Amino acid sequence: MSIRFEGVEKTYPVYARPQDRLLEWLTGRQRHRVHVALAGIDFAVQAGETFGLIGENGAGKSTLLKIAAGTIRPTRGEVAREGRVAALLELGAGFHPEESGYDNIRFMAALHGLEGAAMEAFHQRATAFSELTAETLERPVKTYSSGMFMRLAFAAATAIDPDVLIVDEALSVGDLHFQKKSLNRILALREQGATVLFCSHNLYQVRSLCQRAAWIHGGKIAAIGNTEDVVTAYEAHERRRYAHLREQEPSDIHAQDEAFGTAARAAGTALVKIMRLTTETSDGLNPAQIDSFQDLTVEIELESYTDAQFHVGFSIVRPDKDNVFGTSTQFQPNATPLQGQGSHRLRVRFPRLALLSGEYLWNVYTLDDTGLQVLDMAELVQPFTVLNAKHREFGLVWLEHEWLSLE
Amino acid sequence: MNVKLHDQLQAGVSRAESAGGAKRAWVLWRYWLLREFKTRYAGSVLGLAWAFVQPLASLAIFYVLFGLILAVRVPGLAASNGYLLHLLAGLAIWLPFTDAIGRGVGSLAAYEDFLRKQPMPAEILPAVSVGGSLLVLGIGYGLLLVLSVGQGVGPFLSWAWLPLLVLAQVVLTFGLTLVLSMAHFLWRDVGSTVAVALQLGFYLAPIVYPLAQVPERFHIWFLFNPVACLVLTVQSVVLHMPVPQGTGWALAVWVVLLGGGGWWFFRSMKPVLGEAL
Repeated sequence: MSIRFEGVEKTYPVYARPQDRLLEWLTGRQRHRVHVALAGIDFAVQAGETFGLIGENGAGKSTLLKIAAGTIRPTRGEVAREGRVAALLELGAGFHPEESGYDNIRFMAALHGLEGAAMEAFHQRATAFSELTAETLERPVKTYSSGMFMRLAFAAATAIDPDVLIVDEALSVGDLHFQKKSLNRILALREQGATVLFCSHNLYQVRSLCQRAAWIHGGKIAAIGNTEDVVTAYEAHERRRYAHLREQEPSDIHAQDEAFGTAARAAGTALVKIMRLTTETSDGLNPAQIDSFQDLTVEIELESYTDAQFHVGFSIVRPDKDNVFGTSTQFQPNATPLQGQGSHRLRVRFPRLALLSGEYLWNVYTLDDTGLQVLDMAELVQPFTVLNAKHREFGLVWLEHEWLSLE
Repeated sequence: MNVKLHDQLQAGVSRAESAGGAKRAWVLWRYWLLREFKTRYAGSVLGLAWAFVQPLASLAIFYVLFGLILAVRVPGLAASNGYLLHLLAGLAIWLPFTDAIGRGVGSLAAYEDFLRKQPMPAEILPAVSVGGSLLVLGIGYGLLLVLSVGQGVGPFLSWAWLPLLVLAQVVLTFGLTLVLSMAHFLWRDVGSTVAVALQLGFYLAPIVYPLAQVPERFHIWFLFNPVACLVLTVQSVVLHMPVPQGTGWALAVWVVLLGGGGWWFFRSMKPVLGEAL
């Protein structure tokens, strides 16, 4: 029910030419350079824990997941796994296009060494979860749409009722309904006490799903522990990197964001679309400049195309993507989600906007009822400048404070 | 660090999981084999009948060409249609052998991506190729025994050796498939080389021609060919034909060498399979 890494190290021999490997094997003389993919990995994912792996592309996350799943062996060190392991590294990799959906499910069962009654039970679970009709399942997999294929693949991959689930960004497959369903399946397995090791670039997801996390950087663990601490450390690193990149390539984000929503808007048709964000002060609508402690009301207009419940979150950000303040309908005391087709209008008032001088922008998100799935987003929109003309304090925000003694 | 050292340093994953591993591999092998047979003839009208058509067609072609037109006679085989039996004994070895090797060579390379993503014993893939040739093997041996009895050759007590012989053939073929599939994974030249070698190899074993037609001083060289050793042993055991001395021992050496060596080579190179670079 747990995964333990003990001093795991992974190095790959890299050969410049294929014949070098042959010559090396024959002569015993080294003809490769060594690429160190992972070094000094030493941690354990406890039973029933959900553990997140974060880090940049190429940092070694996937290698670590493959070692955890057992498709590659560590060069040094040990990996101990207990319980049935399901690895969602790539969905449907073993499917045969000529075979029917049914037969491919059976093949996945055979991969886990199941036969007879156990195979039938596996088969039934996978069929039920995939939501594909009996007629569809009898057709060869090559006739499936990519969405159907992914549904079948996810269903077959998790039908084993794993004790340990290893997930590599597999959440973002299929249509939104199925994404939500697969996420719920992972959550349900977690409820049952399954251990989950998962890697994601979606820090929001990592924050909400994981108890602990590790940040892998350059093949080593840069930080490990409580999710919030690790994610924060990683975000700080990303910011430094981002700032560094911006110095090299001064791109004007304001220019990009002139027209609302054209910038970092989620592609495709969102179920709950963000239509407009307007700010209002005593100076009028959408003022480009705001004074500190001015009374500001922000209004968000949405268009919902479904009857499903949803949440809305927004934040004030700095141009370097640093959140200054964020909130969500989900964080409100009763946390009632919004519901109903048609347009929705949210108004939030900041009676004394405690921002100090600087450039600020808005991020808006619509999320599903669990608050995990992002339905639509508009990032770095509606820029505004805050001018702190009446006070001499400096920084980002005004913090409540009292001078207790001045001796 | 050279490769052998690399292998020693490479530490295992915990022992506990190897216990259920054998059973799991057995289940998976059987299912995969079933799938292999089902998909091999998918979309064809004759379906599984093709498994019979192909060996029978080879048999017919060689029989007409060498047995009837060139009228090759087999000394030491007292049967009216001795050449047919001789040819059948050779093809019962050769057809499953080429079938297994031909499919097996590319098996690891074809599933490269899969091996990286799905934990499973990689030995299954060459084993499925060998398993897939067992049908042709059964057809070949069955036909050979039936025709032998029909022609008044046998049954002999020596036929009791047949199960052991078949086992030797399977071990030898599996060992070679292990080596070649892994070698092809590392160096893609192997596949093309094997295709040429198989064409040539057919004529290096006494299949279409009897060994008696070959000058005696060359006979010893046939023992350096594992397939020829197998063919000669079957000729000796089933048809009671004279073969060079020590053929049985040579075969035993080949089985140990290819079976054991293939397993060792595969195991020592196995870490390469899941690696992305």
